[in-house]
Amino acid sequence: MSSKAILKKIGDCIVNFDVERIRRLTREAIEAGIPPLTVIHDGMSKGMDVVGKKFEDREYFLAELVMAGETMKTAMEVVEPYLRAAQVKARGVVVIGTVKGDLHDIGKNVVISLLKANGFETHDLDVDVPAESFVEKVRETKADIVAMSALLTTTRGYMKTVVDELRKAGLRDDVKIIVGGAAVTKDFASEIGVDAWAANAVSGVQTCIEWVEAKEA
Amino acid sequence: MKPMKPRERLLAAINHEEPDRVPVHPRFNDMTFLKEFGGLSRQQLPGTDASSDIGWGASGMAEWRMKVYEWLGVDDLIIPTTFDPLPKEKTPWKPYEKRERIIASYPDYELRLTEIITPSGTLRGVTRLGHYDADKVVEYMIKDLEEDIDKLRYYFSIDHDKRTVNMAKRAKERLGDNGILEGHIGYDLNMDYQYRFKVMHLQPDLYEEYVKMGHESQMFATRVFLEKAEPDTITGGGGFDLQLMREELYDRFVDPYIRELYRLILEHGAYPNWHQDGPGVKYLEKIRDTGTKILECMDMPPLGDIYMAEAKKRIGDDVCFLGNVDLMTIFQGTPKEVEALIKYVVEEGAPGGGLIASTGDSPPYGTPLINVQTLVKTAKKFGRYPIRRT
Repeated sequence: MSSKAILKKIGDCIVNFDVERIRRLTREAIEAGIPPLTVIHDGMSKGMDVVGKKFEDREYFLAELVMAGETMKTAMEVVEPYLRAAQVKARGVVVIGTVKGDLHDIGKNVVISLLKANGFETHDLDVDVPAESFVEKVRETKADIVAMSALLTTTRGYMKTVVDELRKAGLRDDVKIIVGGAAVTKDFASEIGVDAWAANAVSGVQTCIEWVEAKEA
Repeated sequence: MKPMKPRERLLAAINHEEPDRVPVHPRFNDMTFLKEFGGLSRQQLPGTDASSDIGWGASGMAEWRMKVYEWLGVDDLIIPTTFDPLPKEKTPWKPYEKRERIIASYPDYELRLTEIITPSGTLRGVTRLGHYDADKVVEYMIKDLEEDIDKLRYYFSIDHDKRTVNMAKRAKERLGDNGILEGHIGYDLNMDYQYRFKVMHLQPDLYEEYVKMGHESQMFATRVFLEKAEPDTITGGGGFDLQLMREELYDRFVDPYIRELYRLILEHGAYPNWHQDGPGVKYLEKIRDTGTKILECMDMPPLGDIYMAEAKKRIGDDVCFLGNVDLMTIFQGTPKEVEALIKYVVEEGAPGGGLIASTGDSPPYGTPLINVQTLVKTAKKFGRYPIRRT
């Protein structure tokens, strides 16, 4: 099988959630000498693009997003030792959490799965996260991106507190900030001075990918 | 037309008969969603006082809701009461022991450990009892369905809670002609969402077994509730996840069970109520075909994709609508915008009956009182039959 054909099949596995087959195909790809990063970018990511499109078209839903993330994670388990051996760095570092006062985490967890599946290093601060925890983790990990979630209109205001605290700590210009969750609108995101608003998990991860690619370019 | 009593008006609308006017019933979980009352306890709200019976039990909540609705100028009452089919006591045929204790206390929250001890082993779950909007599961009971399925045979009891039934009965008596009693039924999935989706895809037969067990428990509890408490409507079901999964999964794991549940509700003379959050326009006929008689929430853009005009045209002969009011307009809009929105919903949804003017879901915290009052006033003003387009 040609490299192109293997990569295409890897992408198809993600679209069809074929966890068993993707493990085998990813091994074959690596053994055939395809560089691990190529497996990710030209195989897995292409599949995720199709999944994202199907999600936008409402052909796939949350269940399918989760499964596509799981399938990609399986392939990443095969690829990761090779990435480490080649000292390939993570695509980007993301500090993520649901802000103080809010205990909802389904959306945040889906974003984490998709970020990991796309080669990001993620630091999950969980739920009910105070501003100082975001600041500390950004400082500790030298994160590229801060991602915040809020489901409630009563808690979304705290996102601005986090932005302000990052500014006070002199870290605001070092990171891109993205916000999402049911209570968060595009207008609200502009008001509080963050860099992006995500309508859903797929578009949020896509924005993160664009940011790190722009940084690399 | 002779003025109708609220109960008569609501039932006429559900049965697609034109009442004297469109019934109006904004939904809310707790009055503190209103901007003016943020931070107040329920005892401090208008319409109640320290002596009011406003415990969380069905009859106490019914009493409290009636008072605040009266204060808001809402005559047509739909009073919800929860009926939890999970056991409070031992199951009739396979006993288990349930233990609960607080395992940690922090300034803002406590952690509660729940153990279900069965002959097949112990299920263990941890819940964070917070001071915010809701409790949060920290550790789900079901961690490995293959390993836990035998324990679940004990957990999914078919026992019922007599106390809840009695409270619902009292709430219905108290309501009288002022409205209708709504039952809420569901079974506790107690499984992480992501894990659930994985099992659904990778071990579909096992997941189906689990769904069947939950459904069996739900059918039994619903039957008991219908017979003993005689609710007018029932909202809920084990897996209202049409917006979360693709159609083939819904067809296997949800649809047949919902249809059976709704048949049971209809056989007892009550009305099933389907709550549809988020997008759903693609599935209007599918929702109708479950046998539901009420479709509530029905988010319009930006939260969803349903507009009253299209819903009325496609399934309006069979289903009564409750909602289709954009919550963001109620939350952030001006009274003028709210009026335009309600006018649209009434003019498109009310002809021929089949509309209850409502938010369909609880508005976000911080909603101004004036917008809720505008909703009520506008629906009453433009909702007189025959409906005239202006």
